[in-house]
Amino acid sequence: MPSPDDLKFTNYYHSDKRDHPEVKEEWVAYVLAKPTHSSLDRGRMVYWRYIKERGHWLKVVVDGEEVHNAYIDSGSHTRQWEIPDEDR
Amino acid sequence: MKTDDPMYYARIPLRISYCRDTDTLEIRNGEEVISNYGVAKGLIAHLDADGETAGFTLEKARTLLLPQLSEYDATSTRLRLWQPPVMVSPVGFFESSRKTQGKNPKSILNIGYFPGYDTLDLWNENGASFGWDVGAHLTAFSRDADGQELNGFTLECAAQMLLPCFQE
Repeated sequence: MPSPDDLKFTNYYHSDKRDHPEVKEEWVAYVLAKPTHSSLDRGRMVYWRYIKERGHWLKVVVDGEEVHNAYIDSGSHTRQWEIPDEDR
Repeated sequence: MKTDDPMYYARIPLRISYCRDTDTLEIRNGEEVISNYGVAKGLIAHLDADGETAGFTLEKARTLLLPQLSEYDATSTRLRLWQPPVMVSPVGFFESSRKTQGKNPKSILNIGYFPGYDTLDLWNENGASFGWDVGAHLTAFSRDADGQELNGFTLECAAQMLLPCFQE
């Protein structure tokens, strides 16, 4: 699993007009290392994984090699997803 | 809508209406609007019959956004318009958006535009952790999982969609 220190972020991710107050970078690294769902979204890869500590699914949007966005996905689709045994 | 497809809402074309006379912009996903919620001063969220976010209305839209969206440079933007919006006549379109409910309609509206990503953030002063797709290129955010405290929106491909409205 990549260390949070190895992650690269876009300028957008760290812009001062946004914040990610409840998203730990170690969670982002976990999602990228072991996603259970992924999709190509307008040229960007999107990954999801359930975060046991948070009790929700984390969505990570990757632009090229950089993390562009990450937030807890409360979309209705996540309520249909089965939580992996190891994340329960 | 009950679906396990994470891209379901991301594929729904947005419906955009701009009224030049009142400088009011409304963006929706096509669901019927049942109630409204003041997110920040001039920014009103719309909810459908299931309580799901259906879009938003922004007052003084051209005044607030045009200076920033004018920084858009098609040659340097990394994100291309993927799902073109449907442009809708403002006649009758705003009827359901007039009555505003909500807790913080006087909250400060923060506007952030990122030309390199053609991405527009419209937020009140509260941070947000939870997000969900409303339609193609539009994401809503809140501080709570069930979206009861909506804090703002992110609109991707913002200049590509809105400049034609403002410049006509």
